[in-house]
Amino acid sequence: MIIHTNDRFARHWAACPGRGSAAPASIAPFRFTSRTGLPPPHGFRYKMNTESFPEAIVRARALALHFDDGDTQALNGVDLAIRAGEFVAVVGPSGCGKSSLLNIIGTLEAPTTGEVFFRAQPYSGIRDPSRFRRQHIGFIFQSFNLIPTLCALDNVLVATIGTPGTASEKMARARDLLAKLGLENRLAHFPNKMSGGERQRVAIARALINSPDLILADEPTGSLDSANSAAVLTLLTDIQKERGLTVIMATHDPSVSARADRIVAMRDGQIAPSPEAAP
Amino acid sequence: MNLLSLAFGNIYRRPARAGLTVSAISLGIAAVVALTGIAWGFEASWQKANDARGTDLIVTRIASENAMPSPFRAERVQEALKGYPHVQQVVGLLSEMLSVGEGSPPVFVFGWAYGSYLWDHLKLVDGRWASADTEPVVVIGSLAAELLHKSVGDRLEIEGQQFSVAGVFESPAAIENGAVVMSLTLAQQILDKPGKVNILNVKVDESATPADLAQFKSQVRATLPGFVAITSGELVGKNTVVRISKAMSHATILIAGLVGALVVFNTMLMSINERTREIGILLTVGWQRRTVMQLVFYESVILTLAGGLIGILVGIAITGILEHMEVMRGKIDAVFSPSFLVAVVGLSVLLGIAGGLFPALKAARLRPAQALWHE
Ligand SMILES: Nc1ncnc2c1ncn2[C@@H]1O[C@H](COP(=O)(O)OP(=O)(O)O)[C@@H](O)[C@H]1O
Ligand SMILES: [Mg+2]
Repeated sequence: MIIHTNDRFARHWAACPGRGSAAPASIAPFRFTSRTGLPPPHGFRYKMNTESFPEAIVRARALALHFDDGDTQALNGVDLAIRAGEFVAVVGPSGCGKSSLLNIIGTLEAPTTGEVFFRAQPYSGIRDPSRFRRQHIGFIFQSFNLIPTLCALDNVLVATIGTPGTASEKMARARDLLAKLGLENRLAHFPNKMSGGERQRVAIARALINSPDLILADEPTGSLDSANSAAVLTLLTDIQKERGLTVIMATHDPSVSARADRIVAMRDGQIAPSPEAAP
Repeated sequence: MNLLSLAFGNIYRRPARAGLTVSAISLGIAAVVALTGIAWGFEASWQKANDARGTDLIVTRIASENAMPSPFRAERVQEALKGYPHVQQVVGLLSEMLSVGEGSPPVFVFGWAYGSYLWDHLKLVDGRWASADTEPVVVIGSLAAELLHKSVGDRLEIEGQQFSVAGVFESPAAIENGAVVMSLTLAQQILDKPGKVNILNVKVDESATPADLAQFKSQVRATLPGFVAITSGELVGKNTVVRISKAMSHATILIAGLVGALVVFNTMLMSINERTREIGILLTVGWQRRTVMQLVFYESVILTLAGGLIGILVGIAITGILEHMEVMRGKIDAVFSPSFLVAVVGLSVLLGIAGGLFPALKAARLRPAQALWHE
């Protein structure tokens, strides 16, 4: 373990909201506090005060992700807190660890060390990550990740298999969502018969079908032209506002990250001083 | 849109591969169905022939394990048995499979004691019965008439002796329908086995209970060393042909089962590997690992079940063709009991589960982040 006292403290602290301010002075400042360099109200230092940051939905603590070869350190001590309802863009050059961070937050990958908390629940305590993903998280990817042999409607419905509800109710939900995303005439279309923008909207519908709390979008506009990018982003931000969703979006496109409430910059597997914070 | 329709869709994506897999399985299942049907058919048709004669117990040599027990001198045993309680008739039977005339398939030739109850179950459809024990005539089953191209009045050469066909009969037992029947005396003479029979058929009176039959059996054991009294079913169970064909059918079930499971295993493993990324997507959108396993099992069981059902039809068709081949006619009467067919369907499902197990586990164990980047 790389983290000792701080980690245990953070767990304790996270598990007992409201007691954060009573943290012993001896263990502050946190290692990660100094490292994030994020200013209030979005910096972790600020979030330490749970009174003023009560609505954190995701909190990452000292995340490290090393790949098998041992040389690749995709993440190297990442601390991050995301408020519920926030639209956060994670930016940085290719290979800086954006996808790795999103994958860990999405429980698709386990960190080598460190911990993530979802509404103060540590991921290490999640028994059934599939169920957790189904209930709380929607994913959107650069490459859409639709199933080529299923039509738009079925690509959305496939995410409802194994969830409670009747077939007709699920069908109605999927149709509504697709209609809302402007795809009412594309229900029976297969992915290879749709444009990139349409495909990404199907993927958004799939991400939303189980009413998640958090959307993880990994370069969602990376395969789209600027017009489609703008349209998809507008849809995403509209839905985010309407539903009060939290969105974490990885991108390296400044025009895309400009739509976010907050930008978290990464470099070499760490949180870098954000452009906003630059003097 | 549910798991089952998804499974069907996944199979339909690779029609050629699915077709080959189903064909391979259906061939294996067809072999199982045909061989087992024939093995049971052998047993059933022998039993039917014995039962049709109205025989209650058969007395024969203990050591005999041939298709027909080897012949023995009947007189002493026959006399002894006549004195047993409840016994009405003790009738000798001699039989041999012989070539009758040029170019015809071998047929069973039966010698039955003249005037005994053995003849009672035959229905004469043409001609007449023999008028005396030693009259040089035979009667032939309707199928034998067809196979040998003989009818009433024709001559038949058996073991160098000339006989005339006196009548054509029908029997409820296929084996007898394909046979030539003559009096025991004539049969002993042409087969050069004077005084000998393969079995003694014992008919008991109406009042005999199962306990009486059991008593009869133990009495034979006690007083006639070297002989046993058995039911027709037990006699058939000792039949080497029946035993060999059953062993072959068991071997076929084993081999077809192993091959079938391997074929599904291979197909599903290929399919899983091709779909790694897709499974990653399913896991990402929140599918339980067991749902992924279920999907793989559905697919593998759909394949084997289709193979099983087609295999049953093909197997029955193959057996039908075999039964109608000249050399086989009248000798087998394949039996496909409903419980056997249900067992074959069960076997197909089992193949799907066995062959799909490892692919299903492999699919369910994929790590979503890795699977998503799989090409
Ligand atoms: N499965 C993997 N195995 C080995 N190295 C990986 C793997 N996935 C990512 N990496 C490495 O980890 C680093 C961070 O990757 P990633 O999180 O995908 O960055 P980004 O999304 O910012 O481009 C890169 O150097 C990348 O090569
Ligand atoms: Mg990336």
